[in-house]
Amino acid sequence: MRATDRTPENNILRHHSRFRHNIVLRIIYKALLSAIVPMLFLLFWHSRAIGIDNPLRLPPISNILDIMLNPMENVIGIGSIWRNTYISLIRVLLGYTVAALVAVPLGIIIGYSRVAKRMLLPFLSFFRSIPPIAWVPLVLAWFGITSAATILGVAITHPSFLILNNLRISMLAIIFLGAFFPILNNTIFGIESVRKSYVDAVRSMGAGPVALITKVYIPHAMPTIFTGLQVGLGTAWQTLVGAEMLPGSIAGLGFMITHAYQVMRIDVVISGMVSISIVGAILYAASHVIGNLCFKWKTQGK
Amino acid sequence: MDIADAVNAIEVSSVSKTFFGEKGMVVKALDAICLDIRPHEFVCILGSSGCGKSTLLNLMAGLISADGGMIKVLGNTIKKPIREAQMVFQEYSLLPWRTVLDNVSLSLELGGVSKKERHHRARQLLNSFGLDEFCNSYPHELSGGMRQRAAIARALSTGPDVLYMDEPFGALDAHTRLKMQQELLNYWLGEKKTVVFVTHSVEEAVFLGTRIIVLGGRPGTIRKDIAIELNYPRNRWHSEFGDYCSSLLQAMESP
Ligand SMILES: Nc1ncnc2c1ncn2[C@@H]1O[C@H](COP(=O)(O)OP(=O)(O)O)[C@@H](O)[C@H]1O
Ligand SMILES: [Mg+2]
Repeated sequence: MRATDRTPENNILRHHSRFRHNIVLRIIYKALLSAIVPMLFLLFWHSRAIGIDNPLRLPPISNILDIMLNPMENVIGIGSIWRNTYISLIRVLLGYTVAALVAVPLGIIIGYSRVAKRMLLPFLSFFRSIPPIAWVPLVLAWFGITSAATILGVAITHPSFLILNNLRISMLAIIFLGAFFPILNNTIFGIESVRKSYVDAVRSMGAGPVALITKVYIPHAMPTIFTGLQVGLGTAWQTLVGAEMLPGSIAGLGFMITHAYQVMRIDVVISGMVSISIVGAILYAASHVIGNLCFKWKTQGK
Repeated sequence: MDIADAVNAIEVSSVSKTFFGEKGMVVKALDAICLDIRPHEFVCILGSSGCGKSTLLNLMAGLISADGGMIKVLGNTIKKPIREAQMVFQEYSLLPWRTVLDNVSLSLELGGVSKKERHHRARQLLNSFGLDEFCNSYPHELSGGMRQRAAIARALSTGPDVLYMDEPFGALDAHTRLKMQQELLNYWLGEKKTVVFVTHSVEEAVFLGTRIIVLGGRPGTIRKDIAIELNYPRNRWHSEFGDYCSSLLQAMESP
């Protein structure tokens, strides 16, 4: 082990620490490089907003900042940005969790068994290219405005009613559809790409199908499944606006955007868009951190 | 158990194997193989690439099933892998998401041995293989030679009577390879397990085996089956060593 302590990589590391100053400069340089285009964009927006001078077409940046920096304040009578974000997040996480709970086991079965693949994949592929929004009429016809409150039989007076009544089954179904296929596809791919030599090695130790799936296929596919879960969370979050446009919707960022549009508050529309983007970025970053923590063996080479 | 079972560790009688590939391809890999291996033999299966060596080993190990014929190992008719016979592969057999310790104890884990007990036994094995300081390393942090040592440790963890090895040193550099050959021999001279060792290297086979079986042709058949009557440790520069090599090379190369 001693010998490996003096690998070229270690030398480079030592060099870096000697020029720490340089690294700080480098970080500043990179940050500036990334900031140029957004700055130009904001500058352009600002100048156009002054030029157009009509907040119904292009509100000034300060209007949006005003709304965003006061997230607890009630905007246009439909609750605060914070509350709408919170409701959207619960909806997405719920629809997404159900999608993950269905798609991961299904993907494992399809990836493992050729018979299951033949039976299920052509059928599922039929639905693959139908965008979740196209399901809206059907989903509405089936679930109407049934909510978690209706299903659980929670009385209108109960404190949890407000949240549960906002969890419409139809919305959850649309979000489910948005997350389902990315998770399914990645799971199937992860299971199918297991190196045969690992399977043979563990089979030669006397492992049966169950042990093979739990000790080889699933651990091997975990990083790929995780990528699917990451992508699925992104697409679920994207279907949000569509889902919250459904009739009966009375809260959420998607609802906020459509409602603000109807009352001609473009600044609120843009604030809603920015909120969606910020939450999406946070979700992505968080999942990235978790992924890096869980799959060290993968990121450090095979 | 009848007498024949006690005499032979492995019996392969008129076994053939045909593969039906993805695109309707049909490959006959082995034809009418008959082979008896006695306990404590160190048998090398020698042949050029693609002649069916791995196929024969996988059949004995119960990883694939034959078209017909019969395979018996330690008296058991082989339909699937048995615990008494373990396998070492060429490479990529340690699971990259498990530490070396968890890899070596996997076989015991599958056998339902408690975590404490299997870690204890795996640690002992790793100790005797000089890998004690790598217990908590991941396979990619080990050199190729150390990985193969760990793979051998894993195969031995359940105390098998038969060891199958499919070109276990094939991916190693020449120096490490020679070292590992010597280590394997020392181990075998101490324990005298039955070893079936697949290789395409004539020199490796003559250095290791008590007996060499040359496979050749398509489909593969047994070309030659000879005992190597040289004492261990063998001297690669000895003229008899060279004689064995050249006659085996001839058998391999004849059409
Ligand atoms: N799973 C398989 N499907 C199709 N053909 C195979 C399969 N495994 C081996 N073969 C074919 O059988 C022959 C023997 O292969 P193998 O036993 O791996 O040879 P060796 O180990 O001697 O190099 C080769 O022609 C190979 O292409
Ligand atoms: Mg082979």
